[in-house]
Amino acid sequence: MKIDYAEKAKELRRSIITMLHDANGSFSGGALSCTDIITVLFNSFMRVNPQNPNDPQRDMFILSKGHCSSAMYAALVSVGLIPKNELKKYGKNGTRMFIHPKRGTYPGVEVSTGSLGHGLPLGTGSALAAKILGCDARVYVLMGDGECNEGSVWENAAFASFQKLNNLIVIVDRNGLQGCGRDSQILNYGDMGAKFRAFGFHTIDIDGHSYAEIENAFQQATTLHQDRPTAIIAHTVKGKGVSFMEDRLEWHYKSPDDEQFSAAMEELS
Amino acid sequence: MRNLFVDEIYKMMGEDSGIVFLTAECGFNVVEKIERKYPERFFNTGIAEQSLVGTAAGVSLRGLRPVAYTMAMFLAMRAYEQIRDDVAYQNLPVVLAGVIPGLGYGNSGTTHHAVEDTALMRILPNMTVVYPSCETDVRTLTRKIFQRNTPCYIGLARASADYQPNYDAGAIEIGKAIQLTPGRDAALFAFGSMIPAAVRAADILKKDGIGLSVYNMHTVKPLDAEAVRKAAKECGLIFTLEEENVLGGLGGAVAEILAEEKNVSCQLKRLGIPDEYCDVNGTQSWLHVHYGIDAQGVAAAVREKLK
Repeated sequence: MKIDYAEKAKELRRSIITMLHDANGSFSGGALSCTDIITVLFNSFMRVNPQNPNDPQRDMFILSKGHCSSAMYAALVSVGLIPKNELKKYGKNGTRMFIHPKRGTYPGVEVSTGSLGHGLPLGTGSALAAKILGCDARVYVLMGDGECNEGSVWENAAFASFQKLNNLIVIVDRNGLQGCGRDSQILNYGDMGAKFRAFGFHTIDIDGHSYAEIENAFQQATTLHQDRPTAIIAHTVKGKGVSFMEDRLEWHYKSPDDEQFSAAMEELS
Repeated sequence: MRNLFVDEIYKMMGEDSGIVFLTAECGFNVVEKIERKYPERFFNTGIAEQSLVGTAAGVSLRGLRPVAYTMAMFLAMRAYEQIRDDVAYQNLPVVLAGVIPGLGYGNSGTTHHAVEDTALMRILPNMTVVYPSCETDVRTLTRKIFQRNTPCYIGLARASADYQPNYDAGAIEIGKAIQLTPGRDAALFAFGSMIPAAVRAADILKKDGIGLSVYNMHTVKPLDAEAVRKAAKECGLIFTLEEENVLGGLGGAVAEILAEEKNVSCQLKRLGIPDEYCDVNGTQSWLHVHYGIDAQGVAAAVREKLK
């Protein structure tokens, strides 16, 4: 049966907006830009087992852009790893549903992230461990494009490709906006795919909101029996799905007030 | 000590197929036997310490036991945030092996000195911090830190060829100081590379009729607070000795304990590198004399305090 990604993504976006509104939290824009990617990944590619979340054979999802945890938490709910009610705790005092996620708090939260440039080395290590152990688990690392300013990304990209980690799949959420403005005006990385290609990755540029292209990219990454990691450069729109948030820098920081919350929820209904 | 550490790890890798050795381009003429025997569990990340530590943390996510081995100053400082976030915060069982801490790289200069690693490592929750001083220490502590299954930093100083400890492996327990010499006039806590000088200082002072009680504080964290309290009561005068900046290192750790102690009157003198960058060229032993942390310098500092 064909999966209705559009409906599932809407559900995730409603959860995200609700979490950010209730917690008065930041980072709506970056959570919404990667929602479609996460929807396809969790519904069709991530091999997780809610009955045995620590299955050593499991795939790992590493949210390197940790500030967009609302999207990950919503996805973990959708695959049954976290009860939906937990989302109410997001960012609230005294709870463990951290805005920058912490390893061990919920099944599927594999690592603690929040400082940028950490997810790729962690993912590489996990992919390396899977190779050593002879298990066919895959590791998916979701990074921001601004995050690629960090040198640790490139230190490790060289290592991952040199180690021929074909079980490592990096997704760059190329929404073109970082904390202080457009990437192109801050530290222009230009053709991000070319850079990963130069570091030895198999690279695919896609429209990060086209379910067909996302599906095809993950299909390639998981079935081409190549000898290298894959980088999917997903061209996205920050704030995607809520018209007044789309491609607007301020939604890196702002949380929707009551009126904006209602308007957003209506758009996503 | 790095050769002995690598040799012990080499043995352990034969006993435990879960141990994975990673280096950031460090270990020429030291680590090759691991690479030859266990190529599938040996990785060189290149000159990239952040990548080394992050990758090691990632390797541990699937239950393997990584060792991240590289020069102490680059490990402890270049990759400090990775050590905090990826290892300590996540409480992952990564063994961080800092090669030649302190002034061990002597006349290579300040960029190659690691006089901050003790302070930096001991302020991290979940972290165990050890500094072996001899072959018995390094072989025993290496096995013991693996048994802990939590983040550990081991500082591997240059070994002193003529120093032989007066205890055996059974005396070594993580978090417990080992008393090396008896004495009631003053106590001295030291670790790693400074133990031989500390013991020689006690010998020198003995001839003057001064009893210096030397402790091998091989574990800086968790620190043996009980040994500090006992020494404070017995001697009323404590020295700490390290080739680290006196701010925040072992001296800082002992000061914290004494400052919070009730009903103990004890003076503390921290011997180590003052709060400055080394402005003079020198080998390790020359710099020890320069900073008054060689055996004679320590003996002189004790005599001065007891005047």
